[in-house]
This record gives sequence, C-alpha cells and structure tokens, in this order.
Amino acid sequence: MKQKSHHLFSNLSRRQMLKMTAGSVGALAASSMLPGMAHAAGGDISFWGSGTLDIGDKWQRAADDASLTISFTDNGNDPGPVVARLVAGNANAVYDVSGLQGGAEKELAAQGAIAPWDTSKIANWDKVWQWAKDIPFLYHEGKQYGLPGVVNADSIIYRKDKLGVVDSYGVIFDPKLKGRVAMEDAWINSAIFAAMYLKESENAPINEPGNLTEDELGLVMEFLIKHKRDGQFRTFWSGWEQGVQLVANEEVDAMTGWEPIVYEGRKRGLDVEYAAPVEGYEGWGNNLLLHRGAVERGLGDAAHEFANWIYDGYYGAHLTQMRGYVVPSDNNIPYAAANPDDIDPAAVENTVNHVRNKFNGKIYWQNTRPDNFQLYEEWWQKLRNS
Amino acid sequence: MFHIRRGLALASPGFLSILVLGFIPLSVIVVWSFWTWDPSSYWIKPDLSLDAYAAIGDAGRWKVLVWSFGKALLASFICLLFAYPAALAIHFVAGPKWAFVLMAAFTVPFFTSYLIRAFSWRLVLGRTGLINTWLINLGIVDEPLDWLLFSDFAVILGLVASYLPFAMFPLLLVLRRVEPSFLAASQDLGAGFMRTLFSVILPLTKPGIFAGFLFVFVSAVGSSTEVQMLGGAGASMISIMINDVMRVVNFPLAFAISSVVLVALFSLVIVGNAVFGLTKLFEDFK
Amino acid sequence: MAITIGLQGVSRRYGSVTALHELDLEIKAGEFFTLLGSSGSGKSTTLKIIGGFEQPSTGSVFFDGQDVTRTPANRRPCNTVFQNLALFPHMTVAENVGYGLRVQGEAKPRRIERVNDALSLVNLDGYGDRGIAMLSGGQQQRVALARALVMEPGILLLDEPLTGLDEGLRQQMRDEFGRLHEKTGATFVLVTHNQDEALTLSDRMAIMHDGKIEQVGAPEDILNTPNNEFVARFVGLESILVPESIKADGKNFAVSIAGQTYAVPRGGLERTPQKVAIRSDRVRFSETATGVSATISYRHFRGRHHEVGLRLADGAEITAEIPTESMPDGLGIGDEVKVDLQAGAIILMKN
Repeated sequence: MKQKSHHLFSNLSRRQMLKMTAGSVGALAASSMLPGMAHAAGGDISFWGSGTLDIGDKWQRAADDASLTISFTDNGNDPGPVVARLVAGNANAVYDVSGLQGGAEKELAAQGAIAPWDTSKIANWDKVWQWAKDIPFLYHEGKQYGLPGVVNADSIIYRKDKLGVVDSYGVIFDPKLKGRVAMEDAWINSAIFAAMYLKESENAPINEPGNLTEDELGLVMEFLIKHKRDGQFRTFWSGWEQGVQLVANEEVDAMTGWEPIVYEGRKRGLDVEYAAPVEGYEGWGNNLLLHRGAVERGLGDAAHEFANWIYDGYYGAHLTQMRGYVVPSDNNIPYAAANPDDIDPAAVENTVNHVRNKFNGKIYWQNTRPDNFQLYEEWWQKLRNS
Repeated sequence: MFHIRRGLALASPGFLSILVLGFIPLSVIVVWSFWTWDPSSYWIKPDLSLDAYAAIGDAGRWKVLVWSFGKALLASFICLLFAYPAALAIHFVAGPKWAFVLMAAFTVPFFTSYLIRAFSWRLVLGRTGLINTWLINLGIVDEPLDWLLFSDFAVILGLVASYLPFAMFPLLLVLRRVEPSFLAASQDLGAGFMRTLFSVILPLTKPGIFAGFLFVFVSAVGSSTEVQMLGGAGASMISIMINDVMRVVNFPLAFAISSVVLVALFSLVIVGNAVFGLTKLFEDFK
Repeated sequence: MAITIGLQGVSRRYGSVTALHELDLEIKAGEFFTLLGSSGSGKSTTLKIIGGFEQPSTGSVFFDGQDVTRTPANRRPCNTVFQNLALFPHMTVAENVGYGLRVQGEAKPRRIERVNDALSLVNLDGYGDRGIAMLSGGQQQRVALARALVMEPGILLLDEPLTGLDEGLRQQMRDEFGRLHEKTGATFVLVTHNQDEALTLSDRMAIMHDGKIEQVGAPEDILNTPNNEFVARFVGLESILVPESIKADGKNFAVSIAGQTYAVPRGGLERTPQKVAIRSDRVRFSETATGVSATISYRHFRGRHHEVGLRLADGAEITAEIPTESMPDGLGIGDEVKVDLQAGAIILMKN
C-alpha cells in the first residue's frame, strides 16, 4: 500500500510516511507540530544529527530568517549505525542533512551516500574559521563533503588540589595514580589519546594518531592493555552522567573526557581543572553532511541555505549558551552582542574565545572511521578481555 | 470438530504473533550469521561462510561468552538463595497483609528505571559512597575499599538487585503447589524442617526454581547496564560485545554471537524442562 | 502400645478470640474416641493440640502421664490422617507410605516389607508404584491411612477424614476404621461433625460447642441421657418439649404430656429435669382410642419410614418416624390422631 500510494502524497507527507515507518517518533512529533509553513523560497530540511546539536523550539527561527522549516531527529551519535543507515538503510530517503562526528565522510562519499557542498552558495563561508576549514576529513577527492558544524577540543579532567598542574597525558599512565584514573569506554577517543601520548612524549613511531596503521594500532593497544592489566584504570566510563559521577564522587583524580564535566565538578565544590597537555588536544568536529537524497529531491539549495543559517550567528550563539559548544563562525559573538535581550553576550564571548584558544595549540583530530576501524574493534575486545 | 476449529481460530493470533515476533526474527538471525559482509551494498550477501563463527575464537570474544554465562549463573543462584526463603516466608508465614507488604518491598524498587537503579549503586558502593563512609566512620577500615565498586562483586550485586523479583514470582506461583497440610503431614511423619524442605518443599517447587533461575539467567545474560556501570575497566558482557561489533557494522559476527547465545539458551530451556518439569508450573493440584 | 491421652486445663486463644476454654479430658488407651461438634466448636483445635500442630495457650497435654505439651509434632508417638489427606503429589503410593519410615532411617528391605504390609492392611496390595493422582478418592483415603498406620502409632488422629466422600464410600471407610481400630489396638481420636459416624464408631465421644465440652460419654449414655438441649439436638433428638409436669416417683419420674402420664426410669438423675426429648422412632399411631391427641402438621416420605410432624394438644411440636409398612393409609395434614409414646420414647435431660 505504501508503494502504491506514493504519488498520492506531496513530497512532505510522503517523507512523513517514511519517517513513521522509520519508527522515528521524535521526528513524527516534531514534524506534526510544524504547520504547513511557507516553503516557497527556502524549503523543509530534515536534519538528522547528534542530540547535542538540537536547539528545540528555537529551530522556528530558521523559518523567519531563511524560510526554512527544520525538523530535527536525534541520530544516536553512533557512527556505525548512522553510516549503515545512510548507505544501506532508508536514512537517505528520510533525512536531508546529517550532523555527525567527523571521520566517516570519506566512506560515505565513496559509497555515494552524500553529495559535495558548494561553498560558493554559502554566503557565510568566509566567516568560518580557517582552521576549522582545514579539518582533513572534510574533503574527499578534492571535493568538500563536510562542513564544520560544531567544534571542540578534549583533554584531561583532573583534581588540581591533589595533582598540581597537569600538562601531559602521562598522568593517565602514571603508576603513582594506579586505580585513580579513567578513560572513556570507546576506542574512538581512548586509542587516539594513548597514541598522542606515545607519539609526542615517548617518541613512538606513530604518524597520525587519529588513523593508526595496523602496527601503530598494535603498539598503542598493547600499551593500554599493559596498563589495564596493572590495574591502572578505575574503570572505563561512558555517557555524561557516569563521567560526571566519577569526578564528582572522587572516584578518580584524573580522566580523559569532556570539558563540561569540569564545570559539574566545580559545582560540587571540587578543585577540578581541564588540562592543556603538551601533547595537544583531541579536536573533534561534528560536521554537516549533505545527503544524496536531498539533492535528488531538489533540496540542494535549501540545504545550502540551512548550512548558511547555521553559520549566521543565531544558531551558534544559542548552542553555545545552551550546551557550551561552538560553531566555528565569526558571527556568533556579534549576534550575541546585538541581541543582549535574547542572549548573554559576555558568556557567549567567553566560551567561544575559550574554545578557539584551545585550537591555537597542537590538535589531533578525532576520527570515527579510521581506515582500520574493524581492527580497532578487535583490539578493543582484546583490551576488554585482558 | 467445530470446537477444535474454533479453539484454533481463537489461539491463532497468539501463535501468529509468537511466530512473527519471536521465531522468524530468530531464524533470520541464525541464517544471516552464515552470510558474508558485502562492502558494496553495506549489508550482507548470501555467500555461505563460517568466518563469523571463527571470529568468535579471536580477540578473546569466547571469554566474554563464558564469563557472561558465568556471571549470569552466579547471579541466578544468588537470586534464588535470597528469593527462596523470602517466597517461603510470604507463602507460609506472612498473612495476606504482610505478604502484600513484602511483595511490594520487592517490587517497588522496580518502578524506577533500571538505569537509575544501577547508577545508584555507584553512589552506595563508591569510594565516597554510603558503605565506605560507614566503614570508615565505624573505624573498620582506614582507606575506602576499592573493590566494592568497578568490580565483579559490584556487577553481581547489581545483577542480583535488578533481577531478584524475576526469581520471586515463579517461586510464589509454584509454592501454591505446596499446601500447608503437606508440611503438617511431613512433620506428623517425623520429619524436621530441613527434612521437609529437602524431601517435600524443594521437589514440589522444582519447576518454579528452574523458572526463576531461567528468568534471572536469561535477563542477566542479556544485560549490559549493570556491567557497564558497575564493572571494572572495559568489563564486558555479551550485549556490550554485540554493541561493539555493530558499531563497526560487522553484522555477520554480531549475528553469529547472537546465534550462539540463542542455541545455548534454547538448549538450557529444553534440558531444564526435561529435568525440572517446567510445564508442571501450570498444573493445578487437587 | 496404645497410649492414654490427658488434657488438663487446655485452652487456646487466637488474639482476642478464644477457640478453646480450659478443657479437661481423659482418653483411655485403645479407645475409639470421637470429638463431635459443628465447625468452630473447637474440635479440630483440640485434635491439633493433641497432634502437636498447635500449642495450647494454657494447660498441658499428657501421653501416658508424660507431659508432651512442648514436644513438637514430629516427636510425638501419634500420626494423623488429614482432612484433605495431604498425600505428597510428587511421590508414588509406596513412597508416601514409606516416607515416615525413611525419615526414621528404617533400612530399605525392612521398609519395603512394612510398606507392603501397610498397603495390604488397607487392601491396596500392588498399588505401590502408582502415582497419587491416578487413585480414586477412596483409594487415596486408604493410602493416607496406611501412611499413618505404617508408623505403628500409639495414637491415630483422624481429622474429618470422610468429608468429601460419597455416601457409599463413607460407609465402607467407616467400617474400615472400625476394623483397623480393632486390628491395631491404637488409641483412635476422630474429629467429625457427623453424628452417625460418631455414634457408630465411638467407644466414647465428646460433644463440643463453642470451645467447650458439653458432654462426654459412651454413645448410648449420651443418647439416653443428654446433658442438655444442645446435646440432644446434636445426637438427633430434635423433638424437645416442656412436659406439663415431672414428678419424682420412687425409681421413676412421672412425666405428664398432653394429659397422659408416663413413668420414665430415673437413670442416675438426682434433680428433677425441666425438659424432655422425644425419640421420634419410638412414637407410634395408637391402635386404640387412647394416647396423646395430636394434629398432623406435615408428612414426608423418607423411604423406609415416613417423617410425620405432630402438634400435641398442648401446642408442643414433635416428630415421629413411622415405618412405611405401619403407616395408615389416607392420613393427611390437619387430621386428628392419637399417638402412643412407646417405652424409651421419653428422654430425660439433665439440665
């Protein structure tokens, strides 16, 4: 029946049908809330992104600014299933633009699941910070497949009162802190941190910590396995609450993780700091990807308008205020300054500059899809079972 | 004849849903586990292969299977050890009012999310948690005990706390088979309590014991939250491993692991039913 | 082998409810003793206290003079046939019967022998390997008996064992109890609410009401001289009336009913009773014109007899059981008749 009646539905409602069959309740709720708004100049963009990119009812603003009707759906932020659904599943039929942690662009482009962006159609592109444009994963065969949507740089959360000033990942592997450190329960982050440390501080023969060769991977993982066997790690954490709890309840004195955990720790009265390690930060970009399906549906221009709107200031300023994440665009601070009723200009400026400053130093980019990703998983199993 | 047909008609939605919701997906998983990953379609293709099963032997994946079964086994036994006396007390000792209170005490914690329940153990067992605070305040230890949390101990505790009622309810159900007069009769014939327990109560409640064991065991084998939140660095469980594998879209391996678990659980049910007479659970004695 | 049971000042309270009031009772060794009463009379509680399944709130229990009040049920030399039989459903007949012996640690060959003897005692030879669920109600009853009797108890307690059986089986099992009592020589204590069972089986019986014993004695004594109206009614003496007069007259009492005076032997009675009961099987229609005048208030055919309601001249109502063959034809409701109260028809009540 679904196939038969395709022609009976308008573009919008057909896609709503598909969303329903995709079982995406959130999307259904979001899209059913949207009235049939003017989609003449702009269009309807279905944005499938990491939950942290959602600005809730503030998406409405895109209709006023750019005649864009945005419906947001959380993609679960797990690259494997997202890539699989884009390539082999129905995600390309249901959604127009993805927001995904960087690394999978090359593979998605090679599979023909995503289309290149034309930055000449993005008026705000010259406002985008240059180093964000330089993220290596954005390009494939000379074309721009990813736009840097949100960026940040991660390192170590630590107890300054106990450890003094920490400036190296060596603290994570320091035998004196046996059982008092933690890393994330994900090779995507923990392998790169260990590789950065080995490369920069132990002169290990590692070329690109975010994309390890088979030999490099073996070296890094054996190093982690050794420390795990020695009882170095209190645990491996996953998820925001667990990360916060480890710090807040003084289970660990240092752990690799996200900067907002530091703020939570301070709220509990702990002397917690975020390290600026000599080995560098792990930078990550959550990049915007243009679905092949969107282009086929004639939504290419609308998608470019959407990307332009992301860089326009409103979205960036609000995302920074809501979640502490930064859109790498020069428009955020001016927007906040011009709209003090809407937003706290000082807070936005502070956060934006803080994040930007982290990128002044050394950065290794987080890569969700290293070439040997199947091997990474195998090694991670070995680590678990060691 | 007419009645039989009508009975079949009445039962058919049930059979159909069991078939559609249970049997077909499971068979599909088993079939797919013998297929091969196809990079061009990002899916699997029907090239028969045992590679996925061979891969279970690599990277210590088989250890996760063994340890998952082991942890689930231990958790089930401990659950039964707690649930059995509690069920006996509710059935034989407590009046209706107390039985209700006791059952509620067992059930109410399950009104909260399993995530919150597992997470709250971190606050109880941690370095600055309730138990360590008491132990230090009472002068029993000087330093907080690290092994309380992020350890197999914590995992088993979490599993037991999570699945205890699953052991409880089949036991309460099967205890209806043990009429109070059986206990009186056993005592009348000279048996003390232990003798009655082993000769009368335990044999009569065997199906419920096995059902309770099975409920806890299956749930624990499939659990991930408790291990992931309470286990030590990188602690694994079958569902965590499957999740890891799915993350790198190695579908045949994920299906192979699932198939091994399925076969193990089905064998357990079949053998258990033969030995413990699970179906007796649904018999009424008169 | 048989054991004397003594209860001294035994009472049982459940919270504010008193199930048993300060009971004193002596059951002789080898006696077939029945506790007869309706539900809530305290008869089952008494049995449970003897068996050790309940503790008395006050008082003591003696077996052969020895205080066993605090002895748990599993160490008392008595066995019970439970009301619902309580056969273990997961054991065969032989396993059920052999259970107590196994608990005692009886060696297997001897155990098998004794189980077979017990089964044969209750006429269940060859039933050992059967499952309990495959037996008929009567067979299950016998297994329960065998399971208790195989223990060779000094006391056998029977807790309403015949409830739930049909009438034919009841008769059969009743005979069985009598036979087994004779054969084993144990003290049998039966709890029942059925007066026929009590009257036919008992050497002596106690009639219980509201947690108290109303009367203890041999069935005949109780039938002939019920202590009170309650006992009289309980043993089937439904027609109770207050005579116009009762006067002591030497060895007899002169009892006047509806103008007729009857001489009734005093028995052991000292005081002059107030009420009498009329045995309905000793009332006959008069063949002469003498006798008590009565009006027929109802008549029911009961097979071998007719039950006829009679309103006497003084307004009292009595019942007569007239053998079918001596029932005159053509008598109907409202007809006036003369009736004779035959010897033994008038039962004097103590109180």
